[in-house]
Amino acid sequence: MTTNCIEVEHLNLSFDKNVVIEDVSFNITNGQYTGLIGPNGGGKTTLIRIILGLLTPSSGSVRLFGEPASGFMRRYLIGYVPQNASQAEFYFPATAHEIVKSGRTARVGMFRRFKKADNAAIAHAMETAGVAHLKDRLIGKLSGGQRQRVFIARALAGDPKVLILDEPAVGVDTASKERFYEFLHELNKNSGITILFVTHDLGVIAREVETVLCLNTRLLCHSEPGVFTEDKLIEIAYGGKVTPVIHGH
Amino acid sequence: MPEIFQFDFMLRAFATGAILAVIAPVIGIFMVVRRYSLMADTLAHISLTGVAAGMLTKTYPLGGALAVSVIAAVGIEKLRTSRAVFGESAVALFFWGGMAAAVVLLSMAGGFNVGLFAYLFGSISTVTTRDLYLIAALGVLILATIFLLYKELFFVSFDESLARANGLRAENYNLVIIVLAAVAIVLAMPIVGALLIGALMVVPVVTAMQFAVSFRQTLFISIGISLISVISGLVLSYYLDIASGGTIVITALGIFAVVWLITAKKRS
Repeated sequence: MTTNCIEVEHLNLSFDKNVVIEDVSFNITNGQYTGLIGPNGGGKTTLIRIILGLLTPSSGSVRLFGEPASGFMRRYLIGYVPQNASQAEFYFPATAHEIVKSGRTARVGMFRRFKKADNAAIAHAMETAGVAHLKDRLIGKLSGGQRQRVFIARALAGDPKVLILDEPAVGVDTASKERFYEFLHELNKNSGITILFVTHDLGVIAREVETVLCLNTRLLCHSEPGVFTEDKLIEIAYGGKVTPVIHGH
Repeated sequence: MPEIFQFDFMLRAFATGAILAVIAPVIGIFMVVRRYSLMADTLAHISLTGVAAGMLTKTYPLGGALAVSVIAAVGIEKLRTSRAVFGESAVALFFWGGMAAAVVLLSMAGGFNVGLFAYLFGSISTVTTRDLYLIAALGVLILATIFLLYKELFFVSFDESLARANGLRAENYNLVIIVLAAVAIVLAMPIVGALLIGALMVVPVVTAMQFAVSFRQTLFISIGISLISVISGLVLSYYLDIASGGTIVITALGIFAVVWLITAKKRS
């Protein structure tokens, strides 16, 4: 039985003649904590959208839990927190609880109602993400950080095995950002959930993750984060435009 | 018994009005949150082609309106998702196409007459027993569909991208909403009229949203507002001898204005 939850092989994606992803291959094993970095326009969000089945690659393959992604039916096993989630619909008349509950829709299945176990899972997801007290608040009335946690609770409500987050800390203040990454770390350690997140924060990469993927159309590295203390590698990924801030453990 | 309840046509108007008052906001809430508010108007105008075809061929106008409206709903959604044109342009193309076809067919049918006026602006005296049966049957179908697919429709409405990532076929749910809207619009046509149907789907929902509660509560409040608007609109229409469609919509807008003023303090 495979221990990989995500297997990407020789992935290519082009729009017209514009190559976005070129020959990208990597595996993510169960329980791994992975950061994905790279310059803007380097294909990070595109790669995630391919893994999520929102984009079809020009060639290559993605396998999820050992099955080809194209026919993978249990997509609810992959929780997703989209980019700019904190700018979600301001006027949408829904409470935090309703939003989190929607994250369990696919797991419950069509024509089926939420049962006791589902409601318990939703309540647990809200507790885990620290938003249980915001249950009845409208999503548009929450702060950026609170909304971000609600969207994480929504991703957790489906009992995922993998959590993918696309720049989850954008729009969140520094103190909340620190707490947020601690929370992700604990989630990975305590619940065993595989985490893959996109970030520009190299400090987080150096401090938190087990594995780092560095993408700029091609996969420039797939290694442990210690490598990222080397200026040369950062220059390759970011073209020398980003000054890394490396925090100690 | 008050005089108003002694006439069969008024009882039919109240029965169809009550069904309509429930289904219009139930679909309308999904249209409003998806920024589809004006889609209802487009479909209503297009459905006039069906009414005109019915008048020309001396067949059941609402049947023609239903067929044209549903086909147009599917067509708009397909053109919109093909990305050949902007979504807004897809709606506009069908809007003008529908109106043009209606005008051509009406001129062939002998021009504008009293019957057409009732379909445009609504009239309490035009609801036939056949209309009532059609509205009741399709009304139940619409409510059952929304009830069964509520959680999926909510998920797709709030975050279509995530719903797709979770394996939901969002395009199918979008199609369900727009086809149900097309059906509801035709059902509302005899009482509210094609030109004002959109208001009944949108105004009660927008009013309920001023209370800033949950999605589910917004839905129930909008049904309540819609029922009050339709029933009081019909009563006023009867006693003042004025067009029912306009009266219902003015009542709904009046409620919106009052609620907006009451909740203004809370907002600030």
